[in-house]
Amino acid sequence: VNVVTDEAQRLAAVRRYEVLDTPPDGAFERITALAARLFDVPISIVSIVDADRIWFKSHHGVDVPEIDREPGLCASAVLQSGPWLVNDARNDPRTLANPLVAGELGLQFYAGVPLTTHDGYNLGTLCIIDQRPRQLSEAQVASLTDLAQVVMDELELRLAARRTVELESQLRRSAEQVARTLQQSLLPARVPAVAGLDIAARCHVANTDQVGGDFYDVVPDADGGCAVVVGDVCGKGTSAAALTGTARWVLRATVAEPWTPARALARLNAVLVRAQEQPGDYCTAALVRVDPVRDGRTTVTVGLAGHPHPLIVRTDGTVEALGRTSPVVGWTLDAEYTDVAVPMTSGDLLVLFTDGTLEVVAGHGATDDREVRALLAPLAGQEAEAVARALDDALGAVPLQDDAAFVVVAVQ
Amino acid sequence: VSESVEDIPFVVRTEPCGDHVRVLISGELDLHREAELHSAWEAVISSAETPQRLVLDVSGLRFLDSSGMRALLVCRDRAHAIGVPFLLAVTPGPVTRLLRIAGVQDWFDYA
Repeated sequence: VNVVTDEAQRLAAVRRYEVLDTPPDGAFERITALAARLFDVPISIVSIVDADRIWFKSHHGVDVPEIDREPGLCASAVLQSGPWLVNDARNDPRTLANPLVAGELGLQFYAGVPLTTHDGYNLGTLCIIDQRPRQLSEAQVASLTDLAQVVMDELELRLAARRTVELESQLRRSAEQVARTLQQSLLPARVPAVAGLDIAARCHVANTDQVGGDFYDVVPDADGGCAVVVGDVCGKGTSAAALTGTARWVLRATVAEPWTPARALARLNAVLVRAQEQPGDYCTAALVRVDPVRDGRTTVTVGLAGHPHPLIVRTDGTVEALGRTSPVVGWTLDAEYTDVAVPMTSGDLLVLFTDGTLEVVAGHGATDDREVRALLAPLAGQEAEAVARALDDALGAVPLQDDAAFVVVAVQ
Repeated sequence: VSESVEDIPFVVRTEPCGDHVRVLISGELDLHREAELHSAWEAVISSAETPQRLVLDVSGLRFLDSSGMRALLVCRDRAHAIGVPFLLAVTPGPVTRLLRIAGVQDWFDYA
């Protein structure tokens, strides 16, 4: 390799290896210790020549971590394409003015081999130092050169490893970004207007690397009312997003014809079990059919698939849990779903939520909805948006471990 | 890396007990720990001597999320796939509550 002597380019190469001012490192400590033993010298150094200093990646037999960039030793060695040998420093015109020679250290012997990158830049040296004059044999110079190559291999390896890690984390970040964007694109852009109902919906996204998570949908149905669903997909990345998309469109297609929640969930279950992109992904859902509102009255029919019960908050502040527990969808065809119908009247609130919401309100790992009930009871009779804001406040109070989605439906 | 407020270590331990093998798990079983349970379980499933019964003891679990529940279901399905009865050992608590909400408690046989 031809050594490149342009100093600005050489310094750029030094920066590229990101070695300056890094902590001590066993591999380099072993190399300097080995060199000292092998050549029977008191001092051995892996040096990196910076713009205005010589910094020691490893210094065996000497305490200083760096020295000024004085000519004669390492600073001169990096200008060479081969070993820089000073056998009797006090009588050598190249080095007799160097402070390490003239000063306290009393250096008399120096042999340095440049650390040359694969593209020809000398970053520094592997050097050995003695306080008496010496002469290396040709074989010893060859050994020192080999050891310098081991140092350089180590530096190249680290650079390559760092690049690989950076590249991988870049790829992972962009894949997560894609999955996350995909997931969010699956939420309805806005909640549709449904006669006689006042609806607010949210999906708070957790700040974790786990993509998948919660979804909701509100769709006018074939019978003149609407379908409301909240769900939680167990899975990761794009396959989870695909499952969410499938779930949402199967439900949308189902409610475009006369439907009930139990039948819709059974159909969704069959589709997901048969068409799963990633075996083992499944989803939980609470699906509610809201009949057309007439004179401030309606009937809601609830189907549950492994999901926390939706709650009704009556105008007097009493809270009722809706639906009969049934299995998650997407795991096995052997699952049955049940419709449970309840009347609602003007001012009643229906609240559907995911376990992420439950956990934030009631604590990590919570499965009991007591705290959610306590939060909702005083909000009886309020507008959907006011109830949603109260839930937003509860969710905003802590960093989210999990996505948290909810839909609030008020009968007008 | 999990960011849960207080990280409880997840531990998997395998104990051969006569004609059956018991795998005990404790701590928090979530997305980040799923793989550890699967690899322990696969080791048991693929060991030379197929046990008469496989028992997954989850009574030491403090927390289970949807991925954790999936992991339990996968263990059950893997045991059934090689024709070995699968039993879940559990004490009432967060795990039984989650299985009940998820509607899957009847999918397991209990030790």
